[in-house]
Amino acid sequence: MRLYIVVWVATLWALCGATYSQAEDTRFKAPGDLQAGSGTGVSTTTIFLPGIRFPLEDAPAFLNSQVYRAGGMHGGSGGQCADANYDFPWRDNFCEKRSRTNTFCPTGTGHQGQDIRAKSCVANRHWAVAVEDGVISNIGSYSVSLLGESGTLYRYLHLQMDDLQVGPLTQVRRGQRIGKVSNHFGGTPTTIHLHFEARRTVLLGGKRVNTFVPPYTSLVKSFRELSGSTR
Amino acid sequence: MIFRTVFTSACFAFCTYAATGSAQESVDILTPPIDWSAAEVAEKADKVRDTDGVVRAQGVNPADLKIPTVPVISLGSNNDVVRSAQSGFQPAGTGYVYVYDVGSATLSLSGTQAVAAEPMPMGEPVPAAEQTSEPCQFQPLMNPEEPDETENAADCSWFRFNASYVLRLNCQNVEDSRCLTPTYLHNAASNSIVVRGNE
Repeated sequence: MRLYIVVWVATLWALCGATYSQAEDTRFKAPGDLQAGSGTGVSTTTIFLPGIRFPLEDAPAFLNSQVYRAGGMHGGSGGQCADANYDFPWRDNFCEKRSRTNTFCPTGTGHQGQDIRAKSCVANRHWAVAVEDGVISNIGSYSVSLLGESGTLYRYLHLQMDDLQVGPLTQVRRGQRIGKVSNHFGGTPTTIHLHFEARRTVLLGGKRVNTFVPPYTSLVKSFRELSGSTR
Repeated sequence: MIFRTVFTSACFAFCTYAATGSAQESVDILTPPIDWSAAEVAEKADKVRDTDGVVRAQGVNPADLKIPTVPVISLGSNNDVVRSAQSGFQPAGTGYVYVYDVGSATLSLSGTQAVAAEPMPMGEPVPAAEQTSEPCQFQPLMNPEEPDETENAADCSWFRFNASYVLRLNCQNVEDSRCLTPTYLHNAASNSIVVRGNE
């Protein structure tokens, strides 16, 4: 009887520990918890992009604002390569203050994707990769669009455009290299980062809309898989 | 004995709280039925209205034209505003994409069927797609007054036959009005043609 109780309590404790470690993973701020003063986010925990691979080839990577952090337009002192920008915790920046239409944002406008810094503050070194199988649909001035087999239309911004590994209508496999993370932005360069976004048809408020969807929770999940940890 | 009971209950309660706090649920992927009868009628009409456009689009990649599970729509040739050229076609899963070089810009037209929804009760029907009064819903991807993380591009999306279609335009020139105002993409959508309207 005593052995039974000990085993029972130990099992419960192990389950508690495993669950707690995921719930309290301090590497990731909650969805919708934007940088202070940068707007109102979407707090949904729904994974809108199930099964995607993380869009950078290597871990770690750091999700945070390019505008409201050091080196950004509203980021205060410090340069873009500040240590704090290349560290945890991650922060959602979908719906960060912008004037562009975004159906999901509480204000009706906001940032349509997520900013991602690669593991080091060096341009043209870290690969962005296909998050799922699909076809390259558009090559822009500093962007690549990918139509995934799920029906999601992804866009990767600020890549090194003279070193792309794909062209229009290239069929790509999940994890295949697309281009290197850079700071291309037409004339004036931006910070070194990947802006990643996804639009797909969703049911929202009982209506069917084709819109940009919050990618943060999907990125957290795919990063955990990439880095081989459940934490 | 009381201690054990209290301890076990507390652990259960804690587990439940922690699990709730970390709850993340993936969307359900739904595939609403396509209105193939309407698509077939539209294809026949477009073959009469814009024979050259339909024949040309069907000839781009005929072997793969049957793969998508949505009606295949392309850009017509009866359009003074949108002059498409050098189009290519690729299926992508159950959807597809056409790509057009339209002079200092790249235009794509994709068609897809899947709808992502937060988990719904079993058997609940997917609401019908709502058609807007405009040919497509224009969404610029740039704002000249707020230039961070934007580019000279625009999307325009619409629903037809219960499928979803998106035009994406990337302009090389920052002042290219085709990416700034809806006129060009509205013209493209309103002059689109059904290339394959049967299953």
